[in-house]
Amino acid sequence: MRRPIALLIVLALAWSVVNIDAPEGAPLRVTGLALGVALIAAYLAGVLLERLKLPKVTGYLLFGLVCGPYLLNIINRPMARELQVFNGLAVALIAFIAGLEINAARLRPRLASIAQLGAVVLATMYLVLFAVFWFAWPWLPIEPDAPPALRAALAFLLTSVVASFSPTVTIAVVAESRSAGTYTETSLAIVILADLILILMFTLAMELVRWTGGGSAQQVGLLAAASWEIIGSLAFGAIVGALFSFYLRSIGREVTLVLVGVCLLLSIAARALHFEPVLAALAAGLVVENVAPPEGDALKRAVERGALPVLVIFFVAAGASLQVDALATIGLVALAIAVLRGVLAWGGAHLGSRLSGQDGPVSSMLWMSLISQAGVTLGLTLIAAQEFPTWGVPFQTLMVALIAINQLIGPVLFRNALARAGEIGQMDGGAARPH
Amino acid sequence: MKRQPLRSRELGGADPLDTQLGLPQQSLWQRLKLSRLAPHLQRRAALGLRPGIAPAVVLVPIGFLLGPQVTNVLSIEVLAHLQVGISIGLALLGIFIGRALAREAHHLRALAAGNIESAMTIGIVAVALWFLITRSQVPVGADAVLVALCLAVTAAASSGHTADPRSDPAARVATRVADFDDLLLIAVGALLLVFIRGSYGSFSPALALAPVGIGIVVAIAGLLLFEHSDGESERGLLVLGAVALLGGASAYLMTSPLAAGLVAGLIWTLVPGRADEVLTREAHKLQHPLIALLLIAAGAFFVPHATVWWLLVPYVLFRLVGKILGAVAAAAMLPGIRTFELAGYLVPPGVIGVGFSLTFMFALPSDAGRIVVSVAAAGALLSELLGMFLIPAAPHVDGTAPPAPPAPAGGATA
Repeated sequence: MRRPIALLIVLALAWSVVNIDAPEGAPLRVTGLALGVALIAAYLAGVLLERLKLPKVTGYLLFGLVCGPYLLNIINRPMARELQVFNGLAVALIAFIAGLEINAARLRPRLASIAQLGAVVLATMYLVLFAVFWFAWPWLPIEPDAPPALRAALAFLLTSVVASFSPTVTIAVVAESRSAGTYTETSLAIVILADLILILMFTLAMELVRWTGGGSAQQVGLLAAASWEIIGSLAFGAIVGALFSFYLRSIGREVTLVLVGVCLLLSIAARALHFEPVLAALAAGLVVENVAPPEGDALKRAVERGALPVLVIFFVAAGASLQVDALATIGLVALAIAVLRGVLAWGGAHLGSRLSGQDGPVSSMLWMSLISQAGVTLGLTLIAAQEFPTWGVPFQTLMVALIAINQLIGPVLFRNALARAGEIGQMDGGAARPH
Repeated sequence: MKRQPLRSRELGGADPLDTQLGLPQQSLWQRLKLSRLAPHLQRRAALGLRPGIAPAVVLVPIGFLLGPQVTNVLSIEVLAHLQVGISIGLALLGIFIGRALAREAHHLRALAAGNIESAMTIGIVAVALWFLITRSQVPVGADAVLVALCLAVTAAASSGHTADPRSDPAARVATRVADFDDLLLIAVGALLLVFIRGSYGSFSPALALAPVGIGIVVAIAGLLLFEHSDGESERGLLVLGAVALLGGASAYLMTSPLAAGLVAGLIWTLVPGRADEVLTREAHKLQHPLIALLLIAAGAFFVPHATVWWLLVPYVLFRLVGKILGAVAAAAMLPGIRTFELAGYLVPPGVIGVGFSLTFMFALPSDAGRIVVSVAAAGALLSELLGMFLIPAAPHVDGTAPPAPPAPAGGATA
């Protein structure tokens, strides 16, 4: 009973504070309040849902959604926006933790089969989605009268975005549930591989749209832009990781401060240089784990223990940013695409598992790790919407609705799969927990 | 969990993550073959940068270099986002002060001495700066009285010297006085914030009580949660959430996070139970990043304005005068310490004054705010440097000079 009372007290405090006649500029100072409410109240909501046999992650997401700007408005729009700013740091730390989990020596024997599996899954999704979008184009709310060439390019663009996954959410669920094992590793590898492919495909699709839409191609070459983003991100992250490893080995003082600095660097500097922060942070963690094993292992254990606040904030921010109004306007089409996407993920994962010789949880449940969509997809959608406002706005609305659906379902499915695979809690070498 | 005796606000010492990682390496001094120098330097341990240099001396200049005046890595936009960390850091400091007060409040003489010393410093600095500003007509961007009072409050803070049990009795008395002198400046600072808000915007007298209300409500939530928390991760999350609520709610209403933290810290310590111990363990992990953030942000906000240079020297000098006269009054009430020893120990200002200047900065008009934070940050840096010469090298209780510390441990006050 103590926790529900504490939850009510925290919510009442937040409600009172934001409803008092706040001084000018108060919305700009809202981040601390948003963080405090999100941390305590969302965590307690997660714990309460856990008693109902639902994952804590669902509690965090639902808390963000219910208390967010679209429903109860306890986390109002400025608060939700500020949480997103904090999210940059959270994403970097989450990806860094994921990098610390990837041990190259352990993964190497399975690399070929994982690549084969990923290729089949992505090929299945790309081919079928493109065909469906091409034929169903007149019924989709994006430039239905487009000439054939533009229609093909737009269908390809839509395919590349719809077929994307969310490495951040996947990694966050793994970190929150402290999962480890074959299924976890394979899922992580596939979504990260898909992220690399997504960047390539989206760049290609945007160039095709520019070309077929009568616009001029960008000055920077297609390959150069994509290479800069992928190879540049990995190289930048690797350099940061190597420097951090050196610091750990040779100085080893004020590691908390330096780690926060590293995550800020990976988040802010990577964006400024047009790198992908998730890839950069992943590469940094990977280098620390594989270049400085004893220090990397110790750091991994310490960081994982302290990562819970970051994970809670990440999921609350995701829930609060879900634009449920988009669902109201375009929900049925988005739902149909979400169902198709889920079926293709299931089919592709089964086919890929058979062809690559995977069995067990990977074969039967890989699709459950491929449902989540979040920040990267949203960011790419925004790029398209800003460059092509005529059809970009309905395109963005459709994708926002699709992301809302997948964001609500994806983490729950994946965590459920991790529980069924018996890999929850294995990061500590402990016994699996049911939820 | 065994209840540990606390000797001070417990700031400083090794970062808990460093300890967890178990990377006991040679200190920088040992690697540079300069370990013989260590005993001759100060033994302050804040941020683990021992032996010697107080964090303000290192971090304020780093902040200035990163700030908009030099490299602009910490641009004004980035600094605006850092406000959250600043208010949370101040709330954390308030909690530590509240805990120290609750545990040491039975030393009534030290309590009175600390507040008399603090009141004298505030009075001397405020009157002197007000006189100088009004006589010279130097532009400060706000009422001269307000700017002088804000600077006086930032000047009144002292960090004391050490919480190391091996330190001499005089240092321990001085540390206690430094802990207690924060009480008055937090009260005056909180009222000043309400007054500033009334001067430049809408005003509600009830807001003067807002920090108390926030502190009580968050303390109750903490009491319900901390003791029954399960595991290190959950405890860390709940403590961070409570500190963020204290700082966030105070920042939103433009009231004092230090005061809200102080109230919560008092309650958590005075109410029977384990909440205080849970808080101690987890809050320790937050202190280094948050204190570093406060000092770096203060350095980044520094403007090399003519008014700042003009106010800086009188600020440091009159602060010193205030501390010496305050120590004269305080030492008369305390056995076991001589006036000049106490005055010397009270010279380093620590981070509270700088933290207060940041709170004032967000409340005052922009120019005045930047002047206050610039003078306070540069003044803190100079006072810390001054303190390195004025504080006697702390001997052991047996009168011998202390050895070079093998690794960061214990803690100094803020």
